[in-house]
Amino acid sequence: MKRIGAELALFLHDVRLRWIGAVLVLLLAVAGLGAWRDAVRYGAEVDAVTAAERARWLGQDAKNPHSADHFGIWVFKPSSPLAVLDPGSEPYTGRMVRVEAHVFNDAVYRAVQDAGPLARAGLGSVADIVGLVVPLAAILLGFSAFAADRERGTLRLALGNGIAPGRLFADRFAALTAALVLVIGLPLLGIGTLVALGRDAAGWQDTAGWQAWPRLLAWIAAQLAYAALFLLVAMLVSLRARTARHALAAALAIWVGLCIVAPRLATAAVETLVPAVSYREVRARIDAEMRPHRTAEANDDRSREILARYGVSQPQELPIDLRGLMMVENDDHHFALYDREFGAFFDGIAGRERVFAWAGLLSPRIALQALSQTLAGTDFAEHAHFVWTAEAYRRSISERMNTEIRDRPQHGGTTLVAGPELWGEIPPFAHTPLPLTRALADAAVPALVLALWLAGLVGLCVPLVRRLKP
Amino acid sequence: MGASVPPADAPVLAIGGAVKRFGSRTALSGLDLRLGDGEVFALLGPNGAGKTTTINLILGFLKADAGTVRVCGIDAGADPVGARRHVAYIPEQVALYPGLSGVENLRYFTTLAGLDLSRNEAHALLAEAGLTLEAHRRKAGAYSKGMRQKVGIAVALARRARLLLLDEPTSGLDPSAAADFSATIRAAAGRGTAVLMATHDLYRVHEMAGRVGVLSGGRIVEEIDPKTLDHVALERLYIDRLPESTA
Repeated sequence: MKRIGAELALFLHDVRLRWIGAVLVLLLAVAGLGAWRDAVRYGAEVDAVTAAERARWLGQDAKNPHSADHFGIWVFKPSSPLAVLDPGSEPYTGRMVRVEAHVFNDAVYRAVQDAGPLARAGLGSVADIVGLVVPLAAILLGFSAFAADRERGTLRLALGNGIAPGRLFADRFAALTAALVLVIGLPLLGIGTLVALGRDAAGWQDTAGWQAWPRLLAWIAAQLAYAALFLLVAMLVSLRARTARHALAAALAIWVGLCIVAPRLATAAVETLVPAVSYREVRARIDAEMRPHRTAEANDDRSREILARYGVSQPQELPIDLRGLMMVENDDHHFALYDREFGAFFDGIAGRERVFAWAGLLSPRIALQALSQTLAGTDFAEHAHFVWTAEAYRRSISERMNTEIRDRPQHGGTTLVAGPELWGEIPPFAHTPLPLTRALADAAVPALVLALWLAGLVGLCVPLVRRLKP
Repeated sequence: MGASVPPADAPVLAIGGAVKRFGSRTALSGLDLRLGDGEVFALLGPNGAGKTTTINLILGFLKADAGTVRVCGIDAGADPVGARRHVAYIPEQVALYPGLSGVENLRYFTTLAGLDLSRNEAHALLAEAGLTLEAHRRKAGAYSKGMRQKVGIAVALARRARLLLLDEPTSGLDPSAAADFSATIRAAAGRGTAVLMATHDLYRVHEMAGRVGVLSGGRIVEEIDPKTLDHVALERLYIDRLPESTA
């Protein structure tokens, strides 16, 4: 500990650390507090609109239950507390869905539509900054670890006076990691605490079941592991470089490769290797299959089939309401179609996400992105889970309205009219996020990939440290 | 690579038939040298004679192409870290961290070497090395070469190593600093430290060394007892032994 303290004291004399620390803290604070303000505003909007929607649903006039089904209601995705740190897919996938009869609606209200210039530059979120800027900071801290000493001559004095290279490397790595924890870990913990406590105070935390604290700690650990990885890259280069300038140039070239070029190449490769059906194709297929089902002829065929099934010739002879039963069966047909088509679509995206996590072997930034979103609860799996929960809610409303019509046959041309008692039977929309255990299971591959990067870099450092020369 | 245990009766330094080549150039061509506790050996030779190569072999920064280099019985080529545990080294140009004071530099290097010097002990060592008290707390960036050299001496003294390696130790020092340095080295030798110094400074060699080896063509061509000659005679002899190209 004394040696690590000595190294840390040496770094603290370096004005570079103070500048890097100040810039990082400022960037993280601006991004984090901005996102926190947006999250608070969004939360308040969701609360207000949800209450208004519920009141609108309960306060609707007496009408036929199917008209009430078409009346529809907006439901909102409760945002993960950690979306403040890493919004993941949320800004692109939408956060509210209109549930109404027959239609599997898209999620809308995509935050990216309101994004400012910083977000469009890819630096809008804390996670963006960690993914792109923190590696730069780690490189700026670590590139001179040995090269500057070699250039200055202090490495000769150190090694010539009994300082073991392995110990020197380990102490410097520990000291620089401590510096990174100071300038990255603490601001992240600060913002995360603000978010988690804010949510706790608002009463969202427990009911929503996000388990924000374990998620936050795991998320911060992942970001620090990523920063440490680039610190190792910089120190690895520094072990070999003759001058600090050479070390910096080489480390920056590696940063460009790993953080900018490789993610684009890897993404393109995954899209080529794992082709997924486009959303437009899915919608087109669903429309194509529904069209013949909706014709008057098809409707007549189904009417006749039901009458035959009950052994009657007139709808009035049925023990149930023909129209209600047909709606139940139509919806069953639609549900099966949606399950098949959207199920395959979401499965395809999930499969691509799994491959993408392995593509982290080409760039640690990809591994971090997958790991970060999963731990933050803002990945595509969480979005798909919301979409299906909203769809299940929509189906539960349709089923209740349809069975009300089916089980109360009206004769003599009258139409069933229902009132507030029926609307009140529909519970408010409730969404429980995927359990933490599921998130941890999904995080296993990107976490493993990040660990492999760290192990690989340590493996590369060991022989270079053994052969360290002044 | 495990830490080697030095044999108790091994000489502090034993170099046998050491050969080192850099491409087609042979820097050392069968160097033999043994050094015991408390001995001060001066390695004399012109630039390029192989003095620094010899020091780098002892420190394990280079590996001999043939022959052996042992420090306290430890093979410096196979276990350089183990060998360096017994060595203190003052390079020709002592480099320090310019943002740290002399005392901070000393404490930094000794802490990294596993020593736990108190502030008072650090001041005492710097004083022993000849650095004036007012300079102890000054930033090393403002130090002269002599002052940096003294901090280097303090680092080396703190380690109480069995072998002290000095590479051109008095080059650039003013006469007073060089005299202080000689006294410090003699005191270290008096405590039993073996000293190997590579130098051109015949006056200091005569003052400090118990044995002198003239290095030429990559090996010691003559070993002299400096007490048998004054430094003028020593200089004459040294020039006579140089290869024609360097004389």
